[in-house]
Order: sequence, then structure tokens, then C-alpha cells
Amino acid sequence: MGMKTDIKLIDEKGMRIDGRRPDQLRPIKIEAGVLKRADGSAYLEWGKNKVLAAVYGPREAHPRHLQDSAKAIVQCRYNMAPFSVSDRKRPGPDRRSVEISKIISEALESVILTELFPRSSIDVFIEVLQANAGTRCAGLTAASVALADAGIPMKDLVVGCAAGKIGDKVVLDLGKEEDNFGQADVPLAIIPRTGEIVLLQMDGDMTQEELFKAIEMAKEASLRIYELQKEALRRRYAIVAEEEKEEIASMEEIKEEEE
Amino acid sequence: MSGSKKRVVLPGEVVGTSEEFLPGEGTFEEDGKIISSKLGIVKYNDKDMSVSTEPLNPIVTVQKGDIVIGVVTGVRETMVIVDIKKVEGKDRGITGETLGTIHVSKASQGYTKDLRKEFRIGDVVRAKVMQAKPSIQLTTAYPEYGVVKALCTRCRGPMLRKGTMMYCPKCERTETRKISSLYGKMKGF
Repeated sequence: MGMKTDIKLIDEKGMRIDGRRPDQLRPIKIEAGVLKRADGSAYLEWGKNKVLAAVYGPREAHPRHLQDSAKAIVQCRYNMAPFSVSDRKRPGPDRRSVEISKIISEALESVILTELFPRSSIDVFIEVLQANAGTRCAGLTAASVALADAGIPMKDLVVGCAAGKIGDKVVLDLGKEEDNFGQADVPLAIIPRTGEIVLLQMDGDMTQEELFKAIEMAKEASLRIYELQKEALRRRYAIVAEEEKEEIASMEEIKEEEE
Repeated sequence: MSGSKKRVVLPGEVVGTSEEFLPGEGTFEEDGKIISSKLGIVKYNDKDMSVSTEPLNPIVTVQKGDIVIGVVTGVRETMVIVDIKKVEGKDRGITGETLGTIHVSKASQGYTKDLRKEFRIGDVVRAKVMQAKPSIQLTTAYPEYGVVKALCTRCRGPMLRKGTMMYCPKCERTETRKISSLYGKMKGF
């Protein structure tokens, strides 16, 4: 952020480095229920970002002193694979990933009906397989799909999206170069049904008007991503229903053969 | 609205209004609307005029009538404490209370004098849930319930069944147990 370069992030036609318009998202692909052993899971591709999310629980919270007799705790681990960035990332938690884990778990806690599961823990694991700016929003978006897949009661899904400022213009969903050489990055997450903001950060600086504009843009884009999340969950259970149908059909065949 | 058609709803989806229905399982009420909290299929119950969401991936809790597998964590003369690990037939881990107890009167079909002769710490037990609330009470008073895997108290090696007794092939020790008819026959042991 704020590095002085002569890279032109926005060309004369108002197009960005990767050919996007200022209010255009990178292509997003979400798939729910990709892991067999997790209670719920999701895989998300957001441009060049690739993120896996898994959910376990609600299960007994360990160690015991973390338990809350009034509600469940939401424990989140955001982790980047060593091969997720161009220079090998030293494995293990660092200052950045601990911070992201914390804000994501707080964002998720705001929608989960935690009071239904006292003394329990809901564990969310986010693995970034490939990073290309905007992984915290991608991780949060994937985690919320995984939570719904795990059948955990929630008020709504959570959606994250970033906006930022590059070349003195407010744009949506910064890419890697834009994040590195731009002026500001504002990741944001909302509860789509109410429009409530559950995560808001800012790296770099922008004026008040620019910030409001960035929030508006990210909110609007989040609603588009919300549709993709819902679609992914619907698709997952359309497949399950079909599998069940096939199973019943094959069971009937066996029965007929026996007769 | 109360059609029999299967409709999949997602968390946050409106399934009815407060005027029409009462919020049931898997739903909550907000601003006069009834909203689903889970991913599942909506069920409209005409009897008590409630809407509920039947989850597609339900959370597993220990319920009355379930057959459970657990590990013995404590034995007293009149009571055995079992840490329930799985509900039979359910893939998912257990949410909520996992500690169950077997009382002497419910340990076997006949009379049991001392449970310390029937169970030992570390034994794997298959039992039926008689009561889930306020505390989990288990019973092993059927041939198919009881110890399904036992470890020798001297050498901690796995024990074999020899008639009605347990035998350790490593240190040649014999012990007594409330043995399940499925001893050594369960998958994964």
C-alpha cells in the first residue's frame, strides 16, 4: 500500500489492469459440501484466490476454561498454505493470520445462534490454497457457506467483499497489483438480509466521501455474491436428493432380483 | 401456503409471518416474520399452526432409544460413567452432553452385586439410552449390549472372550465382564 510506482492502475478508458470495470467483481465460483469427513464444507474460487473452508461442531469446547455456560464459542483458524503466495510463506500462525481469524470468527458469531449450544465450540477452518488479494473476504464467504452446509442455525449467511482506492478512484474488489500499489483497501462483510456491517477494516487512507462510496459499492456487490452462495447450497442439496433417488431405485432393483 | 411440495430453504429465508404461524424447530421470529435458521425443508404443521425447518444435515444429540458406543471413564460399586463417543448409525460427532451413567440395576438382565466386576476403565461399551434428560441414563440389560472391547488391567493388551470370561493372551490373566454378544465382532475394532 502506498508504494510509489509508475504503474498505471487505471487506463485512459477507465479500465483496470486486469481489464475490469471499476465496479466489476472477479469471477466467483462456490461449491458446498466438498469434504466428506467435515460436518460442513465449502470450496471457493474468487479470481485467482482458492479457499477451502471446513466446519466441525457444535462439539464440546476444549480446553474446558474456554467453555461458556451461556453460549457456544466460535473458533476460527485462517491459515495460508506455504505455496499460496509467490514467495514461500513460512507455515504456521503469524500476526496477520491471527488477526484475520479473530475478525472472521467475530463476524460469524454475529449470525450464529450460539445461545442454543451452551458449553460447545463451533470450529471453522479456513485454508487459503492460493492467494491473490481479498482472501479474508473470500475465506469468510466460504466459511459461511460451510456453516450452512453443516446445519448450524444462523440468522443469515455472511458475505464479504472489498472495495478500495486506486489511481484516485474508488473501485470494487482489488486485485493483487491494485492492493500492493493502490491507495486504500476496505474489506467489508455484511448480513445481507439486514444490511448490518459485521466486518470493516481499512488499509491505507481515503476521504470520508470515498469511504462511504466504497462501503456502498462493497455492499451492493456482496448482495450479488450472496446469490452465488445460496445457489451453491441449493445445488449441493439437489445433488443429495438425486443420489437418494438413485439409492432407492437401486434398492428396489435388488429387492426385485431377490424375488 | 401449506402445500406438501418439498421446498428447500436457506438460513435467513422468510418462511411465513407471525400472523399465520408459530415459529417451530429451526426457525425464529423477527419483525413479524418467521425466518428459517437452518438449511432444510420447510414443514407446515396444520395441527398447532407452526412452521419448522427440517434440517438436511441434522446435528446429532443423544436421544432416548438411541444405541450408543462409549468408553468407560469411571467405575463405582453401583454406577459406571461412560463417555459417549458415537450414536450408532450416525456419522457425525455428538453435540451437547456426552457423559452417561449405567446403574447396577440396569447393567444386566439378572442381579448384579458389584459393577467393578462387570466394567473396567477404558472398556468400550455398547448401550441403549433409557433417558436423555436431565441426565443420560444407559442400560446394558440385553445380550447385545455390554462390553465390546476390553483391555487387560495388568498389561493393557486387548482381551479375548473365553466363555463368559475375558482372557488376556499376553499375560494369561482372566477377568470378568458384562460381555456383549457382539464382543470382537464390531467393525473397526
